[in-house]
Amino acid sequence: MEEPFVIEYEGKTAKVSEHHLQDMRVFRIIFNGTRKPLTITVAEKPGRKKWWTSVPQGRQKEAEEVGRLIADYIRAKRKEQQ
Amino acid sequence: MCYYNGQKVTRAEFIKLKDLERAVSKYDFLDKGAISGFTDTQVAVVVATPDKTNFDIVQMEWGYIPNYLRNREEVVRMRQGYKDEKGEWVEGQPQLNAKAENLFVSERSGGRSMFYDAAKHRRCLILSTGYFEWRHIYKKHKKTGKRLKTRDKYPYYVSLPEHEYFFTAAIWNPWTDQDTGEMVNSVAMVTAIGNRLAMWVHNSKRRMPTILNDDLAWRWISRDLSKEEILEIAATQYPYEQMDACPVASDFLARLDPSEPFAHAKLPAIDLSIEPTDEHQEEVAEVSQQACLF
Repeated sequence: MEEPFVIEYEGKTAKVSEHHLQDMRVFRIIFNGTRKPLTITVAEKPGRKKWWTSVPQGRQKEAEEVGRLIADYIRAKRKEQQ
Repeated sequence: MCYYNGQKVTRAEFIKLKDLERAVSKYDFLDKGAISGFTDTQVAVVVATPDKTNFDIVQMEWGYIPNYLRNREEVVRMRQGYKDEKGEWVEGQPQLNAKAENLFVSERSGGRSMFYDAAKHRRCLILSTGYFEWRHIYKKHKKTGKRLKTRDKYPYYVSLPEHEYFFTAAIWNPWTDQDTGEMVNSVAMVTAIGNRLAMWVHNSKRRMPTILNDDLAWRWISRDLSKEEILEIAATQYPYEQMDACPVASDFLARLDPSEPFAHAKLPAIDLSIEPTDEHQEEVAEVSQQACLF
């Protein structure tokens, strides 16, 4: 599980923490400012295609954008460690 | 058929995400670490959306509350039992189950069943990963070897190995406490006459939940069905060859994983190649320990 980390989204910082719920990897994002906290996870479409989604439903655009930033962060960190 | 956040997903994925929604709503993110699961008295119930093009997962109180009960006090009396005016004890009826054959006709009076309207208009599905059932084994007299009237109870966990989740036919009823105004949706699981596996495992009543495959489950909640069609689906016996029954610990409810297999000494084995008789349900001293069937 990732230690909490910080990303930059739309010019502002946001704190990300990882949790495991119902056997799923969930990311909780607390934005700096008035934007409401967001919870996202990776789900599967038919054909095993993976995609980011907000939980609960309704904030798909943010889920995709923030999800991409989280994936970039984790990938970069892994590369550093290799 | 199912969409989540506008993306087409499988039913299993939809269910997973809906479960996760509930967990997220209850999770205190100030706490650290992981949570393995949640337990409460409510069950996850699948209902069709109003336009009947999709389904949603909601929570309901397990234990059907008929509308003739006025308040919680009367609900508790019905469920737990009470002393009548003559001082005689009236057994409690938790109404967890509704027998398929009694959806329209009352078992007691032979008149209209209290489930009638729900069976006709409020059919739903209880979402399950497995269920627990008790097998009763006769004791034998130590000296004479004769069968005694008393029986030991052994819990089993019954599941469908090929299905992470499965659907059980159910009916629901909206109920309002006339004293407090509390509104609750209560649900009863429909049961059918047991298949061979149920006859072995639930050998006291020989019944089983009405487990439905995806097609029948969707028909059950989304179509206007005749009484005959409802009774036919409600009486469905899921094929025993596609089910698994595993003995679990007697204190399984207190275990972290209640479905963990447990070997009970002296528990006679189940043989699905034959129909069970009472003789098959006796304690046998020197049998190999019962393990999972498959």
